Amino acid sequence: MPVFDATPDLASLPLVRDHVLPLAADAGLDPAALPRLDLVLEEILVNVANHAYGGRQGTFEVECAVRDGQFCCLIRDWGAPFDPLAAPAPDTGTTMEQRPVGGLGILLVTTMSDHCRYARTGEANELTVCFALRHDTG
Amino acid sequence: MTESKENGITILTVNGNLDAEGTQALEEKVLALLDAGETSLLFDFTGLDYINSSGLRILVLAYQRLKKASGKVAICGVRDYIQEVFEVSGYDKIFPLFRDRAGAVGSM
Repeated sequence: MPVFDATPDLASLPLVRDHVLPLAADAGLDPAALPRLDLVLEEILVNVANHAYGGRQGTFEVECAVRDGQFCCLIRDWGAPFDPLAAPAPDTGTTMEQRPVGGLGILLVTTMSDHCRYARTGEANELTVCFALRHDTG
Repeated sequence: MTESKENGITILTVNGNLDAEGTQALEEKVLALLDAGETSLLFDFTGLDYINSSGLRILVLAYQRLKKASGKVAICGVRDYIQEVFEVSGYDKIFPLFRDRAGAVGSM
């Protein structure tokens, strides 16, 4: 599948969506799962846009693939090393008054996707999120 | 997004996708209402297809501000996908969720 690349900013979001969602639909992802994929992509890209390059110019790539019965997106940036999956999860059991704002995006990413994985490969952050193509989990 | 009033409750009806652009418009609207002294806010999400963590933050903002002012905030009409987002974030336990607008207005 073709690789999408652009500068990480909010203007890129609809372009990424227009690139990835049709690929996912073609790959056979359940239409009911498309909003989840959409949400996961947006949360990841907002993170990259806000944090990866610390105000410097940069780029990111989105690479989609089907493997092991899953539709997978690899989001790659060349910013400072950052493993979002290693950050502590927000305590969603606390009262709203005590709840820190933030951390929710990555919780949504890990919960809404079926599988996610982070790797630092050379100078790149690579976050892969996968969605099962067959919903037989009950 | 449309605004209406019933029984002293300000109802914000949000349709379609609450993406980056829509989120900003909603935040401005909510802040303006809170600054104007509104104390009862109902979000009608019957026609809402999509919300992300930025959208959820606006709900938190409204909740925290209204709590201090002894106000109320509730949400009605959430669809399956939005319900899932609420459950993941734990917000289903914090916000009063109503099936429809009539039920919400009657209970607030």
